[in-house]
Amino acid sequence: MKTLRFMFVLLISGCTALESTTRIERGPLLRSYERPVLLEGGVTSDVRVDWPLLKLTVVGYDVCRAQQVEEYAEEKITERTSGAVGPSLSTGISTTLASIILFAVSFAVASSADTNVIDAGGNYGPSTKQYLQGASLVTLGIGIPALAVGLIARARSGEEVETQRAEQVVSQKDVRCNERPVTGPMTMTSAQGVALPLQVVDGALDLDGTKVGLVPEAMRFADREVELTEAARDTFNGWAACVAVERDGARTLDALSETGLLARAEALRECRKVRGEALNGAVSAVDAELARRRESGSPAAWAPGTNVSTFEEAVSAYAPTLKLSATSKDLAVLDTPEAAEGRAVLLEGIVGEGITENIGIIQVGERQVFLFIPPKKSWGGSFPNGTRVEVVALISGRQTLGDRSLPLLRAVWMRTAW
Amino acid sequence: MRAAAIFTLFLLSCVGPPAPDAELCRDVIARLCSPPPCPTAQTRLNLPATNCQTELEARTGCSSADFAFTTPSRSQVLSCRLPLVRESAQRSAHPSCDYVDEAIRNCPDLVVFLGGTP
Repeated sequence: MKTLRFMFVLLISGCTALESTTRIERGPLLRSYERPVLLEGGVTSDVRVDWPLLKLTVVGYDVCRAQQVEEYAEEKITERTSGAVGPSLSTGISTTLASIILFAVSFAVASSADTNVIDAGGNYGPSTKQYLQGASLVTLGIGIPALAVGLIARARSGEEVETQRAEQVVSQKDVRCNERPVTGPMTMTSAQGVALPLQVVDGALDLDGTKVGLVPEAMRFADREVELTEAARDTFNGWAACVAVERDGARTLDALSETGLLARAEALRECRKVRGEALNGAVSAVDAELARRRESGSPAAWAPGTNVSTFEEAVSAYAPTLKLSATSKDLAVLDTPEAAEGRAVLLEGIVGEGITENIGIIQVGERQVFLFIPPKKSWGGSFPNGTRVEVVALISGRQTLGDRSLPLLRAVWMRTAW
Repeated sequence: MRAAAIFTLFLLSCVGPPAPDAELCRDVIARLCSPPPCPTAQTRLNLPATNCQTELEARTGCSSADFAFTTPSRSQVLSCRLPLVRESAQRSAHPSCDYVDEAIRNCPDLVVFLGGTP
């Protein structure tokens, strides 16, 4: 019997679908406090140079984060409503009342059987009192479940308030902390990706620049990049430039192409930041060679017997094997001009912006090149912007001027064309 | 148990008390004599042209208030009466002659009781 009652309540409960809505209302500020958080940091290094030694002091660190946290009281309000409450209660109350009224009235009417009827069982027809009591029973059978549904739905409806605490991080500040010397494997890598394995002991590493087999560009400690301050980065780059100069020192200035000479000059200036006046002589020598070449041209570019007086003579003397025009396939040579230094080309292009007194830009199709015009040129005429020209020239590597880095061509003869 | 009691109460509210045997007997006679009488009933029960009801009540003895069924029994009469009340339980209703034929065909004891030829 208890099981039946339970099933009945369960059935009735299942009929009363509830709609639930939850909202959160923030209350007053309870407190404000600072919460420390320890995060994974990185590796950094102090860089000093005592040529030829690079002296590194490698330290690991953590990040200590201080979070400013505000704690609020928060109310989580859950509202449950049911659309069945009203209809069920009204149906239940009205039908139950009707049942009671029918039952009460049944005692006021005739209770004698209907003798005009004898049914198949041999019984008279029911009396009016019996009719009313039967109807009362039927309406009660409707009214009681409806009343139960309504009351259960009403009992389950309502508002539930749950008070809880909520946190909000309003600000945070990160600082380095727990700095300590590290011990472990370190690698230096060159621009070409060659790695030099090293070992750091108690944060210290000394490296002799004259014995390094590559020009280092980056440092990694245990697969993590070593972070450097701007000053430390400059110092490291200066030392690396000194290593490059040291490795390239065997080549005389005369043997260097213009690109090589410019690279040497740049490396010397970088190296001078850490070696100082010791390099003044070398820097001056490179500058003098550069000035001399600007004045008289590159000795490598001017082979004997190249004095020409016409365009045709230039073509004949230099016999250009490459043609650089807007639609030429030979333009691919401009991708790596260093590999084609000294080769003669026939250039067809449009005069563009003048960069220096002797260097201007020539537009060849969608590409651009620097054209160097020797101060003592044999041809005459002027070539303003937009002039279509054809030039016999020699490829002289790559030149960087300002923010442009373009192939450099040295003109042998130049004339207006097509 | 309480549920069973409520269900019984519900069923009881649909019927009245049992009719006495005399009333039940007179009900059967009234249905058979209800004009126009059916030909089979007229033949098999030897129904008179007039005062049919009075004649049959006299034959059966159920004009007496303390009449009680013996042969056939009350239950047999109720069973034989079923076709007669199939259309209506109202005592004034005239049963279909087919149903009258069915009742006479299936209940020779009732025919004998009513003074007819089985």
